[in-house]
Amino acid sequence: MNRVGAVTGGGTAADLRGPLRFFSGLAVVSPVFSLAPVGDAYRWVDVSAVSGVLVVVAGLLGLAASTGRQRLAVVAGALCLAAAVVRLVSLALQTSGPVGGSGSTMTLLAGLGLGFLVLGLVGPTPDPVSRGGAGARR
Amino acid sequence: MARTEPVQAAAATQTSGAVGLADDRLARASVVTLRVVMAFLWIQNTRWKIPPDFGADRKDGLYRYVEDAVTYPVFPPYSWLAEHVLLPNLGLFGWAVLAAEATIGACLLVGFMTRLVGLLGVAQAFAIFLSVGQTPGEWPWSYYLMMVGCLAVAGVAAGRVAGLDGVLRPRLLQSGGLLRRAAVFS
Repeated sequence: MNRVGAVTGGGTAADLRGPLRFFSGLAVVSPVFSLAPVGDAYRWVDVSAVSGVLVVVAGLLGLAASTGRQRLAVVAGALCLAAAVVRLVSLALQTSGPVGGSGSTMTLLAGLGLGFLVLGLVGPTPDPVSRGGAGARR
Repeated sequence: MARTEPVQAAAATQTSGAVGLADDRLARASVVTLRVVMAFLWIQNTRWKIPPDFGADRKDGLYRYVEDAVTYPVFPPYSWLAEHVLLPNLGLFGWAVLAAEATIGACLLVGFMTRLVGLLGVAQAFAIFLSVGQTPGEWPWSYYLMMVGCLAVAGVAAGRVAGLDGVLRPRLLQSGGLLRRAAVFS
């Protein structure tokens, strides 16, 4: 093992597990907002049935990725980003489209997609000596 | 003697109150909570900015916000801008606002380039304040708090905790050229 934090659980670097689990938690919990009363006070984001299923599936893929199959995070990210693009096109065409929801649905999907995709594609953890050196105090 | 020095140093640090935020679990949890709640603030803001007319037909939504800058001026030059530039081009302006707020919400949610995006949030909240800061029924402190919240997210680099910045920053610092410089935004 020539890199710190290198591979634990068969492919997922140690410093990726925390963010992967956190994003997965966000994804799995976000459909709860669909149960909230309509209005700005409680419904922070519109999660339709289709987008709810999508984010839960992405969250479960993210959780699996955190246990050692990092590439599953790419799948989760691509799924969310594709759905965000579909929602964006639907917004432009003034339809609810297959994803449903609103602009907030698109933003949630885009954020989760970005997060999962980056965590799925990122390379090995840098050497801690270098990490503690230049720029560490910036 | 050598064994006691680290203990003494730790004790001195604790008594001086100079414990690093990164070592304090409650501080880390607070930073993440602040970032995610601010993210949802912007995410929710993207639900009522509806293209293509952004409320112009119903005199509602973003249209009303921009119109309020003219009807209830906060800063006369901005009112002039709203009346002569933004309202006549609301279709284009609306997409720009939607893109900016979606970017802020999405990036804050996953802690990506948090310092840059936090400052963008401050600017956007200030623009909203210039639009509706004097509108009857609005609470100006809402917008001060939005600005300060985004400033705090940027200031503490909230994306380094449970976010992409914490993962990407060490890698950016190890790379060269523009990528290394981009670390300043994380």
